[in-house]
Amino acid sequence: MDKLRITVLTSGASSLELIGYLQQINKLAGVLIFGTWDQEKAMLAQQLSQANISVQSCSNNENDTPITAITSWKCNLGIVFCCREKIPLPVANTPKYGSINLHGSPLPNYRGPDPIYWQIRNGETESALTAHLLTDQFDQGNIVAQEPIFIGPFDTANRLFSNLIQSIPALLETIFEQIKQFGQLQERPQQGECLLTAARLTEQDLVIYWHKVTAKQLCSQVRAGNPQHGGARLNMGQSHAQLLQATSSLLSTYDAPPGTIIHLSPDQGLIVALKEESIRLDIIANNDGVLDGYRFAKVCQLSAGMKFT
Amino acid sequence: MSLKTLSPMTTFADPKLKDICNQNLRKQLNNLLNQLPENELQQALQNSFNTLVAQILSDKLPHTQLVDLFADAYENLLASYDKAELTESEKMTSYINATGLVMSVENAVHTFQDIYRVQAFLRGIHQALAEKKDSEAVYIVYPACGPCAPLLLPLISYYASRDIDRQRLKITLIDIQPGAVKALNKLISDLDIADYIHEVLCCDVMDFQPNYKIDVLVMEALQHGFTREGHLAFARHLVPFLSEDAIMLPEKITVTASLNIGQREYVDQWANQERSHSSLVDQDIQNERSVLGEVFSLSLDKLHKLTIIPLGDGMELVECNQVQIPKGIENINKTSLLLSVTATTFGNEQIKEYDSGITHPLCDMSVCIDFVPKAAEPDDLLVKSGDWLKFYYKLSGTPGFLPTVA
Ligand SMILES: C[S@@+](CC[C@H](N)C(=O)[O-])C[C@H]1O[C@@H](n2cnc3c(N)ncnc32)[C@H](O)[C@@H]1O
Repeated sequence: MDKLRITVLTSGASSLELIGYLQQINKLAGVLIFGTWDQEKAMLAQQLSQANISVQSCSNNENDTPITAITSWKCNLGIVFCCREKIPLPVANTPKYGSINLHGSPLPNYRGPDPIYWQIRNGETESALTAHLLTDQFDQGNIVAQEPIFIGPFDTANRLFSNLIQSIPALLETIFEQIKQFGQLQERPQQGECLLTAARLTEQDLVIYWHKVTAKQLCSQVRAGNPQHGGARLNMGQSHAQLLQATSSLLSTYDAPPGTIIHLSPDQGLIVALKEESIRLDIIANNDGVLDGYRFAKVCQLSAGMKFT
Repeated sequence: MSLKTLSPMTTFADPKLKDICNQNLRKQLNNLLNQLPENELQQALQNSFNTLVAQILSDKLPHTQLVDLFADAYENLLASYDKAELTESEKMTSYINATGLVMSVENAVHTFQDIYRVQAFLRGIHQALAEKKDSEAVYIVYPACGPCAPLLLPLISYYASRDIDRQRLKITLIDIQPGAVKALNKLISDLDIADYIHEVLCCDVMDFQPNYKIDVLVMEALQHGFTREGHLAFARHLVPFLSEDAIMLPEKITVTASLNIGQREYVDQWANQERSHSSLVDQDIQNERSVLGEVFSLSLDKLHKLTIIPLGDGMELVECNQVQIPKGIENINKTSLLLSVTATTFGNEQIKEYDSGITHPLCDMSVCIDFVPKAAEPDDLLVKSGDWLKFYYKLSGTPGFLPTVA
């Protein structure tokens, strides 16, 4: 078997740990950065160059540059990671063993750009890091390897991402083993239907629908958005804040309409009625900073009986 | 600063404005506190209460004079409250329980600013007690009285200063907030009226089971539109404990439904007024209202005859009246349903619309007459002119009226 020389195809700095790991195990050929140039990409490029890593920026619909780079770096495997751009198939197919994408979900579920958010938001307890071949359609290629990952009840999006990263070595080990044993990647089609998708987040997804949401769902929604998206949006009249942590509460709502503050005290915090249950708003951020529910309510002059909208 | 700059609709004053007022008052208070020894503070408090009561019992005062007297009493009252040294938790805890809102003690202190309400009760109770002058003992109960029991204690302070009815009046004060009870005990001591107090209880009114009959029930646990607080639930619970010839204050509370354009009623009407009061309403705008009729009234007599509909989960509905939405009214789709409370505390002592926070008409935006709202809300009620609206009163953590189409 030839020595593996891997190129990372990415569009952002979140791929740094993968890059570092590949360099450490002496398998990194170079890094291709796709997409419109911005500050994040420039910094990534600079950081990589300083570490003596070959970098090439690639604009979206131009294949020569990446193909030339891959060829000149003598790369034989491509790994797409944290890449918001679509990689042209001719580019993906240039390395001898082709290119795989690392996707943070047990595919076929949670295809789409925000799998981590939606898995936490839907209260999933099991995830996976999936390596699959690139095809014309995003996230639909045959699966090459998969590492299961648990999602803990308090895991935020960043925690789950870190856990995904930590499972990279094990996942790559499987892939390296395949190439060693069979001289090529072992693929199998994605099994079952894609029942749950992971669409790109919009501001609408961060809104709290007090009348519909259950305590469990709201806790998960808030956790999914913490910290990247500022949890979920808290609105009262013209004022807005970010709800970063919430916990189910056992307090009775006494039939107060959903969104109504049913308890406020330094001892028990800020508790709000939902349709049938209640929820404690633990941590809230606004212009003043990051506050616990009670302090937030106090600075905003909220009291029991007032209603979030 | 005096009360003149405060909105009389204390419940609706902008929270920011309110806060500024509070901060200013606090500053003044600190000065006051640092200057005066404890007994002088007590003397000042008693004097201000006694002057206030003497004046309002003898005459109906012009607004500015009334405000000055109240401002003086209020400052002294706040000084007593501050000296009670409540903890953060005692001051700030607020919640909703089975019968309604339990507001924070810090907020409840400020109900004293609602001066026409306080005046109507003080005058009313004074007259009601005159009717009990032949009784050997008069058991007065004031449930959900808050940290100051403002509708009664100024009068008692005045009686004490004249040694009237000492030991004959047996007052029970009840509040569920430990902080309110702490403040009450301090106030009773500062006013030196312990002789009049039978007991101060920290409990839920719904758990109160006196072993005596109540002769006079003083109660005001409601917000505008007869909403939010447990007034009706408390009244129902206490009925079995009333003596045969008990007096309940207010003697009568009436809730009337009408229609008007919100902008006219709430904005235009007050554009040139610094405060709202029944004497300042704009007659033209009042004439634009369509009065639908009485939705509900509460008196001792009515209290015995309520029709209750149990709903499970401990929730109950009280059946109320039905009113018809008139036909042929121009722009009826631009009007909103207003629910206005008025109260007679006793005899001729009334709290009219706009005199107080509690008699400020409540606008029920959930009732949409001859239009479909752009952004629908879950509890919207779509009705047409000519329909009959049947009202129920919801006894729950958020008490209030529930209009339905009959
Ligand atoms: C608006 S405040 C004071 C009302 C008082 N009549 C006044 O004019 O200031 C209402 C008070 O009712 C008390 N309260 C509410 N629900 C209660 C309940 N179920 N039992 C006892 N007190 C209650 C609250 O703690 C609060 O202090």
